[in-house]
Amino acid sequence: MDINAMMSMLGQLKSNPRQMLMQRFNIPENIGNDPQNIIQHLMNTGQVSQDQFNRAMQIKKMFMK
Amino acid sequence: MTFNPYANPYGYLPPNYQGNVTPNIPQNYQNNIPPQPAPSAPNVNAPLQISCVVVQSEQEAKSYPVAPGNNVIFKNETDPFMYSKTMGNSPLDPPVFEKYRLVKEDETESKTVEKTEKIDLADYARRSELSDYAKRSDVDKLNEQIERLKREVYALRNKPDQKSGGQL
Repeated sequence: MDINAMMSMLGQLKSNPRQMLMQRFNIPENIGNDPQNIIQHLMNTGQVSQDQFNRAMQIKKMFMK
Repeated sequence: MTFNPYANPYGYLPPNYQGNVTPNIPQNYQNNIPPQPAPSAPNVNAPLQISCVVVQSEQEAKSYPVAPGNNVIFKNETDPFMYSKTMGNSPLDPPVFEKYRLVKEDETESKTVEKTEKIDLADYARRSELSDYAKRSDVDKLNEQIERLKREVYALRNKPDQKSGGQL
């Protein structure tokens, strides 16, 4: 990958990651910024499974300790 | 040919929020974003998935997101409690939260329980049988008292004759 393209992607991700992810996962604006609501929406729409979320939380706990 | 970083397998074309357009990206890239697949509804007929999550408080278990049609078991790592949170198949269904207290099973106690379970219940009388026995016992005691009173009455009746006999 071109280093300039990669830096451009990183810049976009850093500048507005929320909007980028909202667009990527079809998250409506009225969901708000609460991560709990966002993940609940993702699971309600079948985009994220319970098992995937549990594993992500386990990884998060590993790094938080 | 240069590699197009946006032609990734996920079909995602990140927008450029600074307004800077790189040569490889068309001006109307916003319109070229491939349509996202429609969110698939959770499979209603899928079997209930059960998983266990370690939490530090009841509140954490209550606020833990659970997918529709799923059940998550929580183990409190600080207190002897376990929780269960179940979501219905519809996202509109309210979650069902249950709390369970963990009680440590002692081996000696369990053996005692096993012994008591092996005791033949035929050796024991029922409450009604005991009540009947108690009634019969009371009747027998009353009969004994009646007999004793009869004897005393008989003795008292004969006493004045003895006294008068003595005076005469």
